Amino acid sequence: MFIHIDPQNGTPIWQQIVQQVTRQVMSGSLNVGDRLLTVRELASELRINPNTVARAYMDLERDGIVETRRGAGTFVCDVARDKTPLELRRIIEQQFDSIIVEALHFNLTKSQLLAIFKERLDAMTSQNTKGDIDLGDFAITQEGIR
Amino acid sequence: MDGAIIDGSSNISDTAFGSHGDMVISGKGIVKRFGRTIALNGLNINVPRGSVYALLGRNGVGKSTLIQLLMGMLEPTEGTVSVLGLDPIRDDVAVKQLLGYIPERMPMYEWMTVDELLSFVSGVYKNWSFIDEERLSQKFHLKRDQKVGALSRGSRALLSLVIAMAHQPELVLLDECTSGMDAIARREFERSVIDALSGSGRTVLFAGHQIDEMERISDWVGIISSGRMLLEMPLDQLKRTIVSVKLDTKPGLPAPFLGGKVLTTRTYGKDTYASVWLSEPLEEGQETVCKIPGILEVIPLSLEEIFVATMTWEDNKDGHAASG
Amino acid sequence: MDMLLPDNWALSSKHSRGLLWKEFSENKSMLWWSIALTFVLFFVAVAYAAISNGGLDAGTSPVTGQNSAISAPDGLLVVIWAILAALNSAGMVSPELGSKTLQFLSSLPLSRNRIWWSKMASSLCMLGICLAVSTITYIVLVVWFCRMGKMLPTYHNYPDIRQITSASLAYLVHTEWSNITNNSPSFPYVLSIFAVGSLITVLVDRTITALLLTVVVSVIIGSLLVSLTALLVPQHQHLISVPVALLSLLFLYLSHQVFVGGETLFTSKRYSIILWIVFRDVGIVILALVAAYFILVG
Repeated sequence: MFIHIDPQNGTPIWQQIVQQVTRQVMSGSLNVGDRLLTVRELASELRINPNTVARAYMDLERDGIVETRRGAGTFVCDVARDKTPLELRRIIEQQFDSIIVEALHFNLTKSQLLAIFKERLDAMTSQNTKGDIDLGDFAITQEGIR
Repeated sequence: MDGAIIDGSSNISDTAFGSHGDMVISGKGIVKRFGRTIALNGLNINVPRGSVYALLGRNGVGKSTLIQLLMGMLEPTEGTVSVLGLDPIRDDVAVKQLLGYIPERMPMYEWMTVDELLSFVSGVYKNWSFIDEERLSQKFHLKRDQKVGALSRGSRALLSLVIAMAHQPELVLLDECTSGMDAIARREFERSVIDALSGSGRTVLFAGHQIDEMERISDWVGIISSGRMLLEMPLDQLKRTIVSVKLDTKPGLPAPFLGGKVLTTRTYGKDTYASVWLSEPLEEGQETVCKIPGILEVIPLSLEEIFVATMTWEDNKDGHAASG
Repeated sequence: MDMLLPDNWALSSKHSRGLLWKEFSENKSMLWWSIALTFVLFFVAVAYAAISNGGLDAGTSPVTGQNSAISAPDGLLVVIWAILAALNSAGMVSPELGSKTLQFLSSLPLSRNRIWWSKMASSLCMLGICLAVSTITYIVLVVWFCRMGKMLPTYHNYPDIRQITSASLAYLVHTEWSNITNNSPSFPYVLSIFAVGSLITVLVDRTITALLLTVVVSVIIGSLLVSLTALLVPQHQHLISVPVALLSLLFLYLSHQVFVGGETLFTSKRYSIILWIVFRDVGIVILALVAAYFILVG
């Protein structure tokens, strides 16, 4: 379970943890039934406040991505893969918002933006022949971007 | 906002993120004079139980003085100080039983060996845990028969940490204890502090200059300036209260917004950026999206940038030359 | 599983060391100082006698009672004792003030009162041990010196020396010992030097400075008192013990108050607090005495 946080990038730390865990679950790096590091272990590893980790775990549990079993730990749930969880959607939306703002600064029109998007989407998916590619911001699987 | 800590050993304890319920440290109107010098001038401080509280301020502004007041090593000239519900001067022994203190350089008895020092200290504390002492000493690779005077700087700090933690304190005060440590030793030290925090309901107050490191671990921030508490709030709230904005105006004409204070402004070409202290924190989730006219972008600031901006603003207020 | 036993059970065989252990361990070196001091002063006195009396063989005889530096044990030994008293009292707090370990001690949950009493008790004990050690060393030196006289090439010319050196060891020791015990009413005055030192040590953060100050202040006060008693009560000069005792108690009290008084120990307040305490506490005592006098007599 590899998590990297950046306290200064504007996103609250707990949110970064939620995003990364969600991403890993969605992309298969974390499998159903895998046990997450305990709050204490993860806090110690990342050198952050245990409360922050606890909050992230609570959020993940609320989203249905993990579940806590008393006395055993926190485990990855069997999340139905075809449902996009709230958090993943939020990540993608945020990324889209940044691109849109950027495009507005460059005075691109809506149709220009859509054209660029379609072009890049085609280019990326055609390169991918087998396996999943985690490009950090986008998780692409064999079935396409989900 | 309340939350629960859940860790693998199934200890669930309630901790408050930013609630004002139970104050572990409470100071009102603290004034401290040394002869003619006024170190603290009407300072208020409130540290909630279970929080990790970062005390920031320039060198010499009074952070160490405040910590010594909390320890009962100094008496306030005016004002009241309450630590764990007790008066640190009148009930000094009782307070110290519940307190762990790690200053920058703790002059311990150089002639004693590590073992002797620990056995000396263990006799003094009621709640000393020999198991914790053993576990921590081994973890920190402290050689028991080495003289304290022969320890390296990092080992000394770790020894101070053992002494401060092995008696299960409710409150831990760290006074610039990682300055002068190399990065590896500092990380090890921080990990140990965090380990001791988990699931314990312990409160930590630390003063220091490693603001980036402090940002990772704190959930409350207090900034001291001119002998007073300039601001004191949860860290995530602070990051939504003091932000940087990109202004849609000609240079030199900051737009009015939300009734806040402009701390600093910078102009790059035709772009003007201002760091602002909003009168109301932004809503959660709205940090980067701001719909106020005249503002192109809201950029979050790191804790260090927030600190620098507020200090610059204070300096300018006093009419001193600002050094960014 | 480890919840079944109390947390400390497994390691409870570890004993903790107390305050007194620490105080004694810290001051172990005092013993060596007392031996060294005795040696040095003894040979200084011998050299002085040699120079001023024209030779080592001149009247070095406790047995014959002739005047010499060595045959006045009261003189030299009491000087040694006085210095040891000053040294032990100076070492009570000053080293810890200087090395700042007192800050460490104050961060522990120990009342200052308890710390002061531990220091006082251990310093006095250590003083007692030092006095014993120095006395024994002194006797050993005298006896050895007398014996060594045999080695002098001029030995055969001086019947006195032959007399000393042929005297038995036991006799010599006994004579020295009775000289010391007969001529030592000065022992209480040694304690009053300790009392002076106990106040100076909480004010000064260097042991050497404290030692010198203690000696100087004791000499000044001593001379003042001696002159005053000689002036005011020439017939009852033994009454000097009264002000000496009172002043000693005062110094001890002030030492305690400064040490125990909150932040005074770490700031320069500790100097001004003395005047305040004297003014307040001693003033109250004097007022009470005056009031009692008037009530009883008036």
